[in-house]
Amino acid sequence: MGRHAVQRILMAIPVLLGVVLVGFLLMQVVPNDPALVRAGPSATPDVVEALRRDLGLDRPLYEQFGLYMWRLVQGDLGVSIINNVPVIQELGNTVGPTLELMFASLIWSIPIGITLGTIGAYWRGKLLDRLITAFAVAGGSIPVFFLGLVLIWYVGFKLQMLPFTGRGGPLWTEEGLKAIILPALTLGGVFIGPVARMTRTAVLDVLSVEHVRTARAKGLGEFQVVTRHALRNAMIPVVTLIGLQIGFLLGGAVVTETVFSWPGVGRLAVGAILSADFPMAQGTIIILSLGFILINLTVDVLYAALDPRMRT
Amino acid sequence: MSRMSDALLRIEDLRTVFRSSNGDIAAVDGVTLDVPRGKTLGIVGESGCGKSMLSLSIMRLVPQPGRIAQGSVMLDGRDLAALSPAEMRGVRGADIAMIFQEPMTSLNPVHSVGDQLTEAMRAHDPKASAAELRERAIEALRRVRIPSPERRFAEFPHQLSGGMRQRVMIAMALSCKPRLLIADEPTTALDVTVQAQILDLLRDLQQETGMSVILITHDLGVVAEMADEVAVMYAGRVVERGTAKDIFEDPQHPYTIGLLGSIPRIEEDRERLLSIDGSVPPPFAYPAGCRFNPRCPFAIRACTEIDPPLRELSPGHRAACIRAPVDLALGVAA
Repeated sequence: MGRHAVQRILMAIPVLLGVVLVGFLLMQVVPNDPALVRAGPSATPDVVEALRRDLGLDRPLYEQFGLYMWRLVQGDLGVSIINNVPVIQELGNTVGPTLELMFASLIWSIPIGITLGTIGAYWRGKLLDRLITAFAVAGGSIPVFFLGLVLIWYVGFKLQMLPFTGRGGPLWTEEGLKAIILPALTLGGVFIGPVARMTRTAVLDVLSVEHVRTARAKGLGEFQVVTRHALRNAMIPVVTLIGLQIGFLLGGAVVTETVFSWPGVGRLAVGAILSADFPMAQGTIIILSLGFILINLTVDVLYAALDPRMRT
Repeated sequence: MSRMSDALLRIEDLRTVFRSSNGDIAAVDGVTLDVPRGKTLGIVGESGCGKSMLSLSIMRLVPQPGRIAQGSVMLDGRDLAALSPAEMRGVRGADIAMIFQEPMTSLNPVHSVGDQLTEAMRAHDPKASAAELRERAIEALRRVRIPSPERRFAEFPHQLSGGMRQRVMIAMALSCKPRLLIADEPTTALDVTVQAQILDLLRDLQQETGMSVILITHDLGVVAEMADEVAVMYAGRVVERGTAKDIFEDPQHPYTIGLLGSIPRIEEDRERLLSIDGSVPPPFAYPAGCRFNPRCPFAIRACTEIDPPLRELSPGHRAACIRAPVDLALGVAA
């Protein structure tokens, strides 16, 4: 298993390099001139030209990329064009809230999704299963921003029950907890459906395998049969699928953070892109990709832990 | 009456049906059968004849959308079909245990051998301590002649050979000292040499424990070696029932004769009877009259009209054929 993990980590390096390159090139094709942005609308062409030289923008593309990479491996992601703050510092400030939001969204939605999926699989074709399936499809089809806006309008605005802008503080304070409820409901809410559907399919597959019949023939109760002999086995594919979905959920986090003014990486990314803050945008792309890669690594390791056949 | 009293299990007019768009389809259709105490009953038939469904019906593990539509299954005078689900769970594994054809898939790949064994024992003895269960599980593995059982206890099914897995299944089945073991094609998926070992083991364990065994198989060689009594099933019904001696030396139902691939005395018919043409009709396409008549070399017109009941031909030997005893039928044919 150790070798397996090391292999996976090594494989992540070229992926990350690719991400950096694509991110870099994307920023080149955007029809915005960083020097122009930096200099402001009232700057003279001379000033802009001087700035362009300063930023190294007059050099050939490969040289710019080389320079960028050289700084990157030293942990230097450049400074924001807009406010001169080092990108790495801004990222450091925003990663925490994003992780917090992801955690608060997944901690309730994954268990609920797995439970609903298992119930659906067990009572396959019955009314309960159909209701769950309908709920899952509907839930999975609602756009994140829409669910967010509905919650803001109803719970935040109409009922005045919960705050809906910004982070209230650390999670262990009452303000922090209150502030995260609506964003976490939004982001987690769109996640229940996919988790429920994947779990239902996986459990259904396992329920028809012979060892489930063996478990019943031993005289085990249905709860044990389903949890220990169907769900436990189904977790192997479900963990993989959930891992992949969490990656996509990062995209949802960008939207959720924007809707709720949550001070995370997602909102930082949107802000940087809208204001043509290239180094910052590039930094957020790298950090989000890193998150994606780390999730996949975790899934690989979990996969081996869940399946004894992978251990030898 | 004496037969009744030495039966451990009495199946009476059992009917297991599957709901379909064309109405109920009977996979087991009016089976009456008793399983003698301390003996091995072989149930033989081609695939699709309902023998596996019969065993699952005894365990009340018929998969959806199947159900037991009528009949009773009496274990020592207790009707299993009338038990509550919780009571039935107490019977499964403890009074009646079961082993299956595929040792590869019958064990759960994600739990260790020891976990799966102790889980079965804990289900019927919730107060036993973990150490005690471990002890008993290792003892159970030793009894099925698994070498170094302490090591095997911690291993996972994929680390064991097919034969070893079937031994684990047997150990698991016997761990709660059942009175009846249902073995559904226990050796079909194994190599021939391993088959013999597993059969030996089953026979020894049966003699040791005095349990009854229902051995379900399509392999007459296995039946000949193992069974004291035999029931032959065809198209959801028992068509012949007797001692192993009755069935092998004096088969009376044409289907049994066909299965044995031999026919007494009439040499010219031998070629034709060595195999049975066609296959078991599916439950939705049973012919009128005797269900075997389209494949039966002895069939006469009446066979397409009369659905023959099991008739006693000699004490304990019954066949469901209007032309039995066969000697007579052959006499007419000749």
